[in-house]
Amino acid sequence: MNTSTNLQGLPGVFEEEVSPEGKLRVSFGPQHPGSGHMRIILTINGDIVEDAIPDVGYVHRGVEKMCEYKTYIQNIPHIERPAIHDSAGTTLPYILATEKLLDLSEKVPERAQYIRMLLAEMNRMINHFYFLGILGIFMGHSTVTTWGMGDRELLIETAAMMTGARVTFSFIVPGGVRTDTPHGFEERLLKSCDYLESRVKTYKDYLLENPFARMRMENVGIIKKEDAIAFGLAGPTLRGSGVKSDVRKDEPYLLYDTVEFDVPSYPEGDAMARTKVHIEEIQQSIAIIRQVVGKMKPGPVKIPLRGQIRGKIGDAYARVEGARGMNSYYIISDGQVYPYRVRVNTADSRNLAIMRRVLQGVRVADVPVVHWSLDYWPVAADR
Amino acid sequence: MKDEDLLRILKDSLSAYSPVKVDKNRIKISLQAETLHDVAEKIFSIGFNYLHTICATDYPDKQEFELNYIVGSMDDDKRNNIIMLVTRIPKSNPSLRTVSDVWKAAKLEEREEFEMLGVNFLGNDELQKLYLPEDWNEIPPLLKEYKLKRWVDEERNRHGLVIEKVEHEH
Amino acid sequence: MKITEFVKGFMISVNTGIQHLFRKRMTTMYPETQNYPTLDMYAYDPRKGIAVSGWRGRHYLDMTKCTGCQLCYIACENISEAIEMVPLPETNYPQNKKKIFPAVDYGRCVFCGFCVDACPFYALYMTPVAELSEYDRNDLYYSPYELSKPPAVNPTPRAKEKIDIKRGVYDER
Ligand code: SF4
Ligand code: SF4
Repeated sequence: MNTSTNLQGLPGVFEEEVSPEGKLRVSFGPQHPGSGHMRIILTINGDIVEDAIPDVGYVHRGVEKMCEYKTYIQNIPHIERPAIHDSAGTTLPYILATEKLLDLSEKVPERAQYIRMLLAEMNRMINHFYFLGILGIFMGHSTVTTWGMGDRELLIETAAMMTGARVTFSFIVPGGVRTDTPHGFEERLLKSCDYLESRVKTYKDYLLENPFARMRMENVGIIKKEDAIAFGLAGPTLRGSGVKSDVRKDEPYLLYDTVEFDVPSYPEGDAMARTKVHIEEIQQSIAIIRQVVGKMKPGPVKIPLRGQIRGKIGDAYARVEGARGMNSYYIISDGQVYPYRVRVNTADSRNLAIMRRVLQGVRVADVPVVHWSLDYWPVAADR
Repeated sequence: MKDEDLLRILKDSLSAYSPVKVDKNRIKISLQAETLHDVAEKIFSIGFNYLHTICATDYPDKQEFELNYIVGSMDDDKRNNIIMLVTRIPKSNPSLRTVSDVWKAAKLEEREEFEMLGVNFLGNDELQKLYLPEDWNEIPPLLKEYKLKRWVDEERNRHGLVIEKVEHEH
Repeated sequence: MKITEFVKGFMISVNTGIQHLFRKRMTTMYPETQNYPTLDMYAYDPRKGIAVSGWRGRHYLDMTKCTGCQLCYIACENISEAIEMVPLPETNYPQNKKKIFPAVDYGRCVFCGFCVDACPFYALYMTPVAELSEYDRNDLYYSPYELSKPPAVNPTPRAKEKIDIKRGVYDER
């Protein structure tokens, strides 16, 4: 079994072919609805995948290069576009790193920090419901698909009440957040949380107890703990392999050290464990939101920044726990209005590293389930 | 682990390299490219087993690349600490030894930096294109010499559009 | 999986499905009901440096306040190049000596709202009008005159949404 992480090794033109030993080479994607904007070149022997080479780069847009040509504010709409499920979790590390360069980190008002936390947790839930929905499609379980999309809608509309946009919020800016919470926002958010908490149990009954879903997800795509660390995996994929790591606990940012929550983790390392982590995290996010809403006090939400902002000469590295895992930005500034270099490091690009290894040996029908349960989203990975 | 404790451990095992604290939980070690692999192995052995990212930066005025290896840990007591290994290599000979035998995650990161800046990581057998199109034949795009074209074409001038005057209600 | 486990799990999930037969339908009947989360305009207060939350749809330009300072154009320049300053020599507003006003191409705009944040004269807002689809790409180009039309108030009433743990999320008609 080939255990390298080589991703391409492709001939210039790909052709489906049958080898003399009867192995079939087929292309999974890029038009396949399950593959996203990527393809996996599968070598199949009977029903077993012998080799799976991810071929990525279909949606690479050069965010790192673009960032060198835009001001710190103008970058915000661009860096959140790759990760539409988790735009708050993607912009937040960029903003935190920028604030370090502007010497603002200590000055951000408390209420702004809490609003950022609310948005980040809502975004985590939005992502996780989306995860459950698409997981349903990939298993042929279309009820869960409609449920996931519908429950996600509730949070999207609540977020849109405050931010004014459904998925690409552009809401967190250096110095705070753009607006205060509107009238009726907290009330609707708490109501949605009550509703979603009752839904979490439904998902557990319907997805985790369902024997057919269990047969599809248990013992497929197993990642061992050592591998998860060595390949640098992140987020629910890492926690589904038994590593109890969460940036919110490891290196608390914003005001995460003032709220109480658990980090769910399961040692099995299969697709089921990763799904369980997602469902448990929804519950933890609801708990965080309730605590945060209780703690919020009226106050300023932003330090107004006048004129063009310039980072001080130097560098800053910030990381946060996005919905799909650790997102981090490394920004080098040379004192100009544009950053000198921005290194974008998303959880999705880290989870890609293990895809070839984990897909080897699974059945063809399990490829979509394993692929999706890895929390790999091509657009965020290609950046 | 507190930064001071970590600095003490690092000073014991890496006394030749003068680690400095640059920020809360961030420790920077500047070193020569030749010693990078040794230091990587050393900090791996004290628990820094989780590579975050590798960032290469082009400095055209000094004709150098700066490489940042940002490394974290999954050991229970060192989860908050991050070590940055910083090294510089000349642009005339942009090659250094791979660290993918220390951290497996480095293979993908090195491949990306090879593609985007042309840094050659000796010993990494997968330095091929990853994100760029197969027919890309220009210089690596993250070099500062590669200038973005104005992505707005000249013909944007509204395809001969005429602005009509409409009733104004104020 | 043991057979007892199988049967038990099967019963639990079938039971969950049956319970959902008695819930209300979550779907919003668009376009009869339009479930806008908010009907406020997104506005920015340059004096306080804070925006007022609202839906970030198409812009509204107050031509009696716009001074033609081009700050919105500069803000958008590197984001999506959607704003263009167009000369309108026939206008006669005392505050706008240069007689230039912003026009927005909605084929490019990403609705980030940073142009609104850049305007120092309370001239630019964003309205809750988001249904901007057209048959012709050129129709997505909104001249200053079109931008300065007040947004049409949504004729259909906003759906009354109910969030009920037992019966689900539904619109009350
Ligand atoms: S909303 Fe954003 S993209 Fe649209 S015109 Fe304003 S600045 Fe440009
Ligand atoms: S809309 Fe505002 S920012 Fe734009 S030109 Fe007019 S006054 Fe200046």
